[in-house]
Amino acid sequence: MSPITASLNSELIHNSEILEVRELTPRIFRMRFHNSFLARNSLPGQFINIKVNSEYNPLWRRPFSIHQINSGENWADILFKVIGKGTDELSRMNPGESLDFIGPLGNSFTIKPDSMKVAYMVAGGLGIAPMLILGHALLKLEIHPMLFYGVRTESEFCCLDDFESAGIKVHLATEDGSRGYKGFVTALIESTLRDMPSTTGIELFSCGPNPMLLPLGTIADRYNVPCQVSLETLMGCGVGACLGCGVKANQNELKYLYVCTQGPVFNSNEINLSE
Amino acid sequence: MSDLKVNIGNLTLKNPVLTASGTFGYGEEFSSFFDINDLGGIITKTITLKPRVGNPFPRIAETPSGMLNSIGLANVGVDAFISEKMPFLKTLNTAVIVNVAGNTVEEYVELISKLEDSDAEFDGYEINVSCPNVKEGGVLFGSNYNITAEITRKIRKATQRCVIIKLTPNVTSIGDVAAAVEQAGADSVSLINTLIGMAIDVDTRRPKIACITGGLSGPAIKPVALAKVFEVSKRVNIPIIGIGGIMNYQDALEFMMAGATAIEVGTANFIDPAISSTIVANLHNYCISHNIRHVREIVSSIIA
Repeated sequence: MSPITASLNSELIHNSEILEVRELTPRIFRMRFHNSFLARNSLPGQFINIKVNSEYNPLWRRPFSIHQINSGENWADILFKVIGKGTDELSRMNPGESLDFIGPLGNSFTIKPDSMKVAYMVAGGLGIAPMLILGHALLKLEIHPMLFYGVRTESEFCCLDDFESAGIKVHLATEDGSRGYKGFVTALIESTLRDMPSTTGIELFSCGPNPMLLPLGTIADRYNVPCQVSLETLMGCGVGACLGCGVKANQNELKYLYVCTQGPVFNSNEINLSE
Repeated sequence: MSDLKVNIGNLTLKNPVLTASGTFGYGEEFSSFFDINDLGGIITKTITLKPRVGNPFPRIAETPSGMLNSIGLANVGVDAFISEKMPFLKTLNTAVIVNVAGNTVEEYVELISKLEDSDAEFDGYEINVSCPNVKEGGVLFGSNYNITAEITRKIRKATQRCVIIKLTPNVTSIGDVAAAVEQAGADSVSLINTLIGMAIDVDTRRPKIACITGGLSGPAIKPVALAKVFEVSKRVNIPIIGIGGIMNYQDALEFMMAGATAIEVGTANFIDPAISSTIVANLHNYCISHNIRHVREIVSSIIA
């Protein structure tokens, strides 16, 4: 009698061939892998949850934003920074090896081509990751996005060529002033909005650390522009089961929203990042 | 074919694989990954009388071969459970076991009565007297075998459905608690709930979870869980459901050999959402390749 196998009916569980692992700037890597489902179906802001090895260390999967997809060549990219054991192991994987992941997971940035005239993408640090797939999606809808991108120092910038070659205008900010605007990218976006005769039709799309997203939401309110933010957080499961990845909802009664399934993208008014 | 069926009280499970409460949502969350009907049954997230938002964040932390959690029984509450979650659960062709918890003995009874009086279709209860992450009830009840027995007796009177008491390992003698619960009329005991644990970030000197301590689960606790199942198997005649770090079918077999009639897959669902279904398939294959006609032959088959 032949062995039976579990009746997996999911298009979300994958083992994909790694095509390339490249260090773009010190400790920031881009991994490209073959996967036609992801290449065709991923939406900007969605993520994949990777098991970096088959051992119990690390135990959990690690979530990564989808950075770029190519449906013609059937590949997808993620961008990651080596921080701990999980990302270190990931950075040491080689082309030809198999990548165990679940995805695409989570919701996505909402693009409303009718009401939106100008899209400002605001990225802080590794928050650049989902901006390329978003930029490509906006261009497809004939919306010309602009990228505002802040890091600590010049050497941390990555994938600028990818945005420029797509025809996306890039505005840079560094905290130490080594390149572009000196200061936080939030200050750069505020001065840009301040100089506009009208902010009607502008929307902000953002990803970065919470200390950047919090003031960005305030700025968006001040200039009355819609602002979507993609959150980065610790995740246990990525599928809405462990309830480990909550963010406070912006309402009087205490309520949490879960980043993995109700996010990672939220309207800045929906959530309260102030703690 | 091998017969995978096992009995827990008046309940016949099509196979011994269940999903542990709090690791499988209300079932629907996992329906996009595999056919849930492949399982012996599912155990819901703990339901309480009133909705609970749960504990502050961070609620989870990864530890060597394990994880800490202090979710604090975040759930929709029994009314929303009946109206919003039951319609999906009703469509399943597998056992549905509702996990319940209360702050007081009376609350357990009120909660059960509410479910009994509703038109909800389900097969049994798992009684959570072992959550380490709530201020009232939970492990405070479970570590006192008089109270645990009292809760069991009252619930036994309130329902004909299968009653499983979920036990905490954070006690001096889990065998004593199990024996008390059996005498009070429980159909089964499930064990172990999480072990109380903690972790500290040495850079910030802050605990890695906001509530300081939490419940440890995952492969790290499997040897402890196995020993507890073995210990309890010497003390009770009712079926035992083994829980604690089961990641694959070999782990499931170990629990069964130590004395468990069925098992619950918990933390592993977070890492591989379809793992419980894979375990069912592999258990079946193991039985075939080892000429085991009925999976229940494995129960307590340890040679010691």
